[in-house]
Amino acid sequence: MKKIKYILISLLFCTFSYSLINEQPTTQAFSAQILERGAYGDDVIELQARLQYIGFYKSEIDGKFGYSTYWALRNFQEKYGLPIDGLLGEDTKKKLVGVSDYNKEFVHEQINKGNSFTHYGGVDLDKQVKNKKAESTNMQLPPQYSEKDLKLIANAVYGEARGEPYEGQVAVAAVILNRIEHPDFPNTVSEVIFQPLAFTAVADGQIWLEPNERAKEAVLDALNGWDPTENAIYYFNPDTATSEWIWSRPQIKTIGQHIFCA
Amino acid sequence: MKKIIWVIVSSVAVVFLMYHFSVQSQNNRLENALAVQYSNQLTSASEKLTKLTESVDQTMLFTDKEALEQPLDDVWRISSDIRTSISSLPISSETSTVWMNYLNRLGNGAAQVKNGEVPIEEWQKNMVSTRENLQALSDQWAFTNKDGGNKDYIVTAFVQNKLDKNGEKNWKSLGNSVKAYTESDFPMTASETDQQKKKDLQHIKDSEITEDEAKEQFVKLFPEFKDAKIHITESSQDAPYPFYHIEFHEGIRIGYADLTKKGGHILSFLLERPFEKTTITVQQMKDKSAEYMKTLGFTDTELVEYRENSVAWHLSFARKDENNDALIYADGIQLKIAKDNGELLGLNAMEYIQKEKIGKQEIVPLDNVGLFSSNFYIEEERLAYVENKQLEQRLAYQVLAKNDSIGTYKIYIDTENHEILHADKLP
Repeated sequence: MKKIKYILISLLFCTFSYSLINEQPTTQAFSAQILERGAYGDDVIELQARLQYIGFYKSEIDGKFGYSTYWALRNFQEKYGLPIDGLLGEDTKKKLVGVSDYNKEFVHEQINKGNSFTHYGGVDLDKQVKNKKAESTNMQLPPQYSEKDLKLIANAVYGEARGEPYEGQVAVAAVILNRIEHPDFPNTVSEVIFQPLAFTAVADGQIWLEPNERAKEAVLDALNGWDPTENAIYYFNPDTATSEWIWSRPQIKTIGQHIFCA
Repeated sequence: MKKIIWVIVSSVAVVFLMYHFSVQSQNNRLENALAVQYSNQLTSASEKLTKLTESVDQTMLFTDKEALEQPLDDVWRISSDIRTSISSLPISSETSTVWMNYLNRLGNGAAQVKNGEVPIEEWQKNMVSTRENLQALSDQWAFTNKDGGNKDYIVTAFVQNKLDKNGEKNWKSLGNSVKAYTESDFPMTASETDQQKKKDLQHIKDSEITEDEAKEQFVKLFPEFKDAKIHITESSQDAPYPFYHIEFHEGIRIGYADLTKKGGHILSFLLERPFEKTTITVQQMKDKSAEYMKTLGFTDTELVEYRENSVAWHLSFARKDENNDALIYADGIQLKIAKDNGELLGLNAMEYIQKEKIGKQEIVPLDNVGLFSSNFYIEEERLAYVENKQLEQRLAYQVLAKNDSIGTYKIYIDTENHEILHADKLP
């Protein structure tokens, strides 16, 4: 009888331990970083998922600490009597982890698959996955530009200048942006890029090549204001240019294989 | 005889192969031209739909009639514009008609609200779902290339659809409908850019520095590159303002810096290097940025925003008016700071060199209640200088307003006449 009791207690202990171990991987804690508006990454994903779990955050879980996350965090801090500063510090993290849950595996799987999903508590997770969302670059941009702009310009930069130095790639992106501001050119990214014979990469189909991270980073710098061309609106490769006219443009500087002109 | 037959057969085969490859190459060119045309139309329609959504959002911000006028006009104008774009897309007539009618109703609705025929409250109620529909369609039509290097998958379907409908294999007749782009299409008129800041740079009055002085100035600003290989070139004679282009290379770091020839002011600086996976804290990054700004002599500025990305933070600073602490966005500076160790990766000070001339302006108190919709909450308010439509710097109330479903807006309202100068949606 004692043996049976012993076995039963051991079994119960094992089951309890297993359930604890099994639950652990789904409840991840934050790193030591203090997060605030402008932050990006896995900690922000966890913050958004936890805030959504308890109903404070209703927007997309994308790892970008924008205003939606900021207001949600402030509302959470207000409700739980924490200092309302919109910062994810130690006390707020502790409270948030205590009152919410986070299924890291589920959240990251959906993000990697590009699915549109939510992470509300008390709702079956399977029912919270919707169709594929629009393609995302996972980059934080100045408010006046969209991810669609970055995507299209990165394709153009990669198609036009992937063999150029980094400065030369930022420069090509800057020329596209300078054209949008210039009265002689169209006013949108797509119209500038697809303007007839404006870019070789469009004419020969290289615009559809998938850009690498370097090209995207170069575009990101241009969108943030860098312009190594000092306001150029044209560029050409002197070894391959066939147009006589392009030589008549006032030249500004040479970067890599390209001469940039006003 | 056999030889003659062999020569004839070979010649025919060669001619056939040449013809085949010529036709194939022509087909590829035409297919590409058609794909470019459709991509342009689709992406353009997508961009316009996003603009329309933004304008619809702005009609939900205000209740004041004057403040609503511009966004309602924009909804009417852009919806009409998109109808034209949609009509030229090779989508099914049923889908096209549904969307054209939808946009027609939207444009008419905006006009009715503007004319006072429909109450703004009713419009704002209806727009909650409309904005979501518009954004969903915009996302669907955005430029994309899936499966690594293949043409836009929607465009490919369009091109195929067009080909199937024509029942042709050589694209001959399609060639007539696709614009044959020639050298004459290249934009021939390029006037001097009229950007104000560039004009300002042309008028710097400081004395010119030599190439050696430019190098000294570079090393003074960035002493960590004192041992770097440096190559300096002068801007071309035709450049709108003269500058020195300094290319540097030290170990894994490679980059450039541009300095004005007059006065040796730093225009921009950018370097590239591989990155470690470590990340410094946000506070460390802020401390570093403050240190850089002090060392570089930009002490009259304030950090207005920063954005973290995979390898670096991008920070924006604006000059602060010493009289009223208002931010002068036109005198901005941008920094790029490495996430792994806080190193300064980039600096853009082009706009800061020639400071804006700020005039005196009256500050008339603002009635937020009468201006904004009741479901928008004002969270912050401060003063800032921004451009109006006449490109004049105007002192404005910078108001941060939020709505749970529409989002957060930064709105600039002229302090003197309460004109809405800008309304920017924040991410």
